[in-house]
Amino acid sequence: MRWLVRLWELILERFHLKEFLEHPVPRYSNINPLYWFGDVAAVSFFLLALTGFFLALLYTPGMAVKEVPTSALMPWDVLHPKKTETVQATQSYLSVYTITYLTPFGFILRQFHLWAAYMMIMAAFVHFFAKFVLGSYKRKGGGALWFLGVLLGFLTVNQAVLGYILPLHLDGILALLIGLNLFRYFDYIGIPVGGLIIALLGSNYPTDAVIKMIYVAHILVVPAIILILLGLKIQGILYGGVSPPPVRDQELAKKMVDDKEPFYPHRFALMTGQVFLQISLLLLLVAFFPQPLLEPWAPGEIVPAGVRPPWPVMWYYTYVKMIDPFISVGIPIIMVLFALVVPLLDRRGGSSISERWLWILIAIIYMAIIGYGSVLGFIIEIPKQITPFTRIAVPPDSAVPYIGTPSPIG
Amino acid sequence: MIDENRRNTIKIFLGATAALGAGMLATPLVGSLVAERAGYIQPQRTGAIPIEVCKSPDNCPEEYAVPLEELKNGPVFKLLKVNTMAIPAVFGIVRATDGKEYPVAYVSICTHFGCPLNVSGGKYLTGFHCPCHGSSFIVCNNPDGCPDKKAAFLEMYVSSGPAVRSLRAVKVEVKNGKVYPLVAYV
Repeated sequence: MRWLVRLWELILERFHLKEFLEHPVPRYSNINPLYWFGDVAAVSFFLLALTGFFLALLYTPGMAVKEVPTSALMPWDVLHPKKTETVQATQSYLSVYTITYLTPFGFILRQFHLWAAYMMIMAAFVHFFAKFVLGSYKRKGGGALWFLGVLLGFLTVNQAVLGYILPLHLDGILALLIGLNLFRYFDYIGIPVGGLIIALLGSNYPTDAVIKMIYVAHILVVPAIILILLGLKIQGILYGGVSPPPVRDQELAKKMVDDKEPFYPHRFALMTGQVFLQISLLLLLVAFFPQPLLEPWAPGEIVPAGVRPPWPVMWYYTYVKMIDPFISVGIPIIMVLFALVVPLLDRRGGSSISERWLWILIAIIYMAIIGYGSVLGFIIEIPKQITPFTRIAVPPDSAVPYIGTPSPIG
Repeated sequence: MIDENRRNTIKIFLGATAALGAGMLATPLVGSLVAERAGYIQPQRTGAIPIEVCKSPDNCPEEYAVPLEELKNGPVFKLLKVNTMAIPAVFGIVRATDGKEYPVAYVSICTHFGCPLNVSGGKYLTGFHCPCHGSSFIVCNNPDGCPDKKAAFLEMYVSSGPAVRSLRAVKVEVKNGKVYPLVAYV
């Protein structure tokens, strides 16, 4: 036993882990829940990486279509039942079906991955809102961290959409088709986005190569970028400190910042508790609220009406359905760009709530735009164009005429 | 307390992002300007990209062909696999107001956001409907064109919903009782 303790001490000493474990953390950040959600998102990311590793081993991407008997589908997966004997399913779908229903622990594995992803997005949104309200970007180094955070949030939602596409269920294929054609509005102003997509992926309609590309992006490219940015961010917080407390009194603020306790055992205990709580919460969600693996779909089949996107992008769906696409297609770009320039616009004053009520109001409006769109997308069948934004008229020479020389038959 | 150093860091970060974004947008734009040399696919004024499926019906692979007999029962979906591309095409017969029948084909991707379209009409192809955001397309079946809809003959114009462009068509030709796709505008 003695040599084990020696070995542990040696590791701590040689790798300078003691400095890390004993780095001072201000007490207020350990007590205030507004300072916890970044940890929740980061831990979710590692839980996702862990479950994702096993899912990546079990999953095979592919667009090849196979016929399966309708009775093989689980009733809770089929939201739009068909009366046919057999249904067509892609290889990806059958692969995820096999993981979910025919692999030991596969159901738990997939559901855990899904719920961890939902938790990561939710935590990222709360974290973003909390830091917006606290004005964390006002301290030294805060702007750069804010910038990294916005990029990470963007990548997180991207990753969610990519993961949502992979099972190639009905909703996933629709998401992929929309993703491949959405930015072709640039074609109309002479920027050949459509040509670029075809040059890069080989097709603007799902094929084996496109699915493989999405798979690699989801399991390798985007997570690698997230990991690098996350490492930078943790480094910045480790040496730059956490955001200042939201109090007006300068002296009190200084006192609070100076009231520090070592990471180990204080924050360390908190984080250990958080990890276990998070895993148990996720397992409870998996047990009581498993999410359906939606129905299969193959090209050429009828698409049932009323297919909705998953909740992280529901607000976008609502606005593109309500507003002219030439305006609404850019809403996420505008939201991300606005979030990026917030530190440059909001410079003056302290970081207490009474001093920056205007920016807190802007933060609330920002979140309300997302929240309003999300809720609206779920509760009502959106009528076509209920907003004052009218359709932009099509210039006659931009309409697509019928290309061939019409010739009747018979 | 304004810290210049911090300000500059943010400016460098933002500048780098803006430059990267501008570069990403400019690359294809510059490419399209030197399209002849670079071999870029030039988008048309309509945003459509022509993809040649067959040169003529004589050397067109049989798997692309749709027999007219089959089309007379209703529209037929065909996934045309051309090189690396997959093009979802719906073949059908349009009955014009003068009583003549015209074989046609359209790319069944919504011009709004790219959802797959559902065919409407029974024996004859009359239009398309998008299940995602509710756009409807109707074919102009008047041989003189539909001036009130600003649509040419056989143009699949937007009748309602958020889409802003007519559906993209596939040029077809009939030979030996079979309809062959020649050029697809994706």
